Amino acid sequence: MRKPTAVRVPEHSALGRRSPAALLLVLFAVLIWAAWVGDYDLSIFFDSTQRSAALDRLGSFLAAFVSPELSGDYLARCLELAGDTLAIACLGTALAVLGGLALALLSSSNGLLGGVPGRSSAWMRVLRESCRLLQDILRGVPDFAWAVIFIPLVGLGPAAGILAIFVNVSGILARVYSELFDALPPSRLEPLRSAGIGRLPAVLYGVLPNVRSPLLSFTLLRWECSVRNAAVIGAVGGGGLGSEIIHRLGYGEYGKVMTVMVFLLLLTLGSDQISRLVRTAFGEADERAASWGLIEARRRVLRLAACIVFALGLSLLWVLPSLGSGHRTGLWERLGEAQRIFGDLLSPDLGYLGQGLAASGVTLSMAIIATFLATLAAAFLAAPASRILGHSAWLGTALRFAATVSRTIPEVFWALLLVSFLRHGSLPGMLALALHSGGLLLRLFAESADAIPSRQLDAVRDASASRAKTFVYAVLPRVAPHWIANAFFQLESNLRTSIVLGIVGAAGLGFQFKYAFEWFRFREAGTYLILMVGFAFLLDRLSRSLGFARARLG
Amino acid sequence: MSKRPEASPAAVRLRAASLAFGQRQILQDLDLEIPSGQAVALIGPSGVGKTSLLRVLTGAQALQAGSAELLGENPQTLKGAKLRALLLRVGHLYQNDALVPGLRAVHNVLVGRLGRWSLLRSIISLIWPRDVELARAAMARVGLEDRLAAPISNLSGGERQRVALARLLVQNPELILADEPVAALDPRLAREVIELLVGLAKEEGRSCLVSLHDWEIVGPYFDRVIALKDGRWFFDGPPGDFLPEALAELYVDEKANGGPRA
Repeated sequence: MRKPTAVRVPEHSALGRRSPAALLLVLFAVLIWAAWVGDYDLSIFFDSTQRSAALDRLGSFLAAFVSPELSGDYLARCLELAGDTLAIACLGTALAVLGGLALALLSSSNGLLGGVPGRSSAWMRVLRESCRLLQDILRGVPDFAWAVIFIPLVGLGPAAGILAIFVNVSGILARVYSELFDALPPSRLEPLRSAGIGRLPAVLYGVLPNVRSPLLSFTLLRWECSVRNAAVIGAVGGGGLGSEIIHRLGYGEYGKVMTVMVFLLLLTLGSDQISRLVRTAFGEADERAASWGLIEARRRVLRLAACIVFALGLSLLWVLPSLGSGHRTGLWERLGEAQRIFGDLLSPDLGYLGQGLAASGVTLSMAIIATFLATLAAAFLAAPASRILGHSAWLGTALRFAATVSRTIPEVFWALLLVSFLRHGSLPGMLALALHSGGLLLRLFAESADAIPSRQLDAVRDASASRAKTFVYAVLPRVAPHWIANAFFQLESNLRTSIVLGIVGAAGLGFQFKYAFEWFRFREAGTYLILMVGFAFLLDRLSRSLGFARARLG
Repeated sequence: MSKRPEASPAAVRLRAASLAFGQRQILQDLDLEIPSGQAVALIGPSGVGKTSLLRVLTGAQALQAGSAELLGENPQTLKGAKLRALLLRVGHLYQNDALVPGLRAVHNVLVGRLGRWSLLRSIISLIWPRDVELARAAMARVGLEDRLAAPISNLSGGERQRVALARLLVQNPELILADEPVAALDPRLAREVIELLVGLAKEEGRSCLVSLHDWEIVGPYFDRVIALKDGRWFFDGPPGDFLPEALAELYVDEKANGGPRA
């Protein structure tokens, strides 16, 4: 589950300097463009045969909703698959911590290749810059795309999932870690360097301890995301619950789909809870650490190490039997194949650039329209959903409950469900994003409305005597900047997710990539990969230039 | 200047050293020789070039002319492992203790061992401190035995400077270079730290060169005082020969310029 993170409104946002009329005009133009380019097939709502088929599918799913498959065998199977997903996430993230740390040490200016004044050489700078580029590539290609790339090499199953998470999360963590390292003044290192201490120990002692707690909390956050993403990777053949859900959807076994969905929800909620517990435990430990003696500190370290070794060991034992199962051919043949695939990916066929750009347009459109619809819905429902402004208590409770359900189900699962009712296309992708972000925004909007002191509202209410007018005159002006900032933050998140939705059958760049790759058109797939990296790069730039504080990276 | 035995080279030697930042001449054709075992105070107002002189000695600042020698080797031309091996024999003390705030005192003291440890040992020690007895003994020497496990953020300014001294003890250098080590402390603490620093240096026959802003602290601890003014030696001799009139003249610029310069 994504935690709704309120975004700080930036003081010097680029948005604040423009006139409202101009902004509305731009918004209108963007929406028209998005609706036109997104290629939304609405015939399912208007064509009676299509509509009744979709309603049939919805009906059978709703029937399954109340009667999920609960046989002991199937529950045991789901438990095993949930274990797979969790193990993939743990092992992938653990490897990524090592990979990310190494890459961050190589790309930070306070790291191994950092400039000692007067003694940094040109090749160090070149190496550092290439490590930063590598970071961007690992990060820019989403984990599911990495899984698609790895499957021909290591076969279907957990190995592809682990590798995909390892590679992608390495890039993400390297970026976060190196930003943390860079934030330290270089003078922290000089005393160590001038005492004749080598580069690596100097960085280990001078840099790492100073960023320990943000480093830890980002890593936990990433692990949480990995659990969710491991399920998604499953949907392209990376093993675990995701593979199962795709299978069962394909056969229309909605009872089983329902069961798997419940397991998925429990898994994501569970990992959320675990990371919250760990974070609290670390926070408390940090506060009390000052009073520990050396013996106590050692005991704590040993216990932590034992926990980590235990979790990773268990994960490894869990997936070990299925690790080798995907191999069809010998090592050498696979290496040859790897060489061919990567060779093709790295020499993309730019003839497909036009097609890729069109697909990027669809991806953009899904995110833009979905964010707009979600913001609109949340803005209208915020008043009834808020505790102070709401008409009736039960309507408010019902809305808040719906919002919770809506945002607890990850976008990818919404997309899976909607694709099975509405069939492949941009419409289910857009709706999936809108449903998830609508729930998230509604909660944030209602909370910010509730944060207004009630006596200020009473004054306006007494004068105007209308709830609607109170809302427009007393509430809206105060919450608008906050709402807009959150909507933009959500747009950024949706733009990233929008690519991923392509793999589960929604349209756009992700879909094109998966399709090309599965038909062995690797040079075409390479073009889409370049676009994905470019997409991520532009998004980084955009969000930075708009000046919004980002609570999450990746 | 006393004649040194050929077996142990001078701790510090400058020959015709010159350094300028733009128009400002920091060092003008300076010579300096500190025999091993001597405790020397380098005094002068802020901004006179004391820090630059110390940075020249560690090779962090290049000279424009002349040469520098540290323990018989030239830090200006050494690189990589050889420079590290030389710096390992030299201990540093800074104005702002330069400890790692995120680590406990014991780790900070053991940083003095890092140059001698293998990488693996350094990594293990970060989690599980090695050579704890060595660190404990050093902390006992500076009177902080009971603070071994304390996080640096819980220590006072004077205690931090003592931890930095304990780190020097663990590093066991032949020469200590200290740059305004007590500028951030009140006079009583400052005197204690200087007494401890010079005492620790002399016990093992180490040399030390300590830059000080404040003449008052030089007291009875040092063998020799050198004073820098306008890029030249203003004074060089035993502390007893340094007269109040000379002191007034040394610091006259600072008053005229309205305070210390960077």
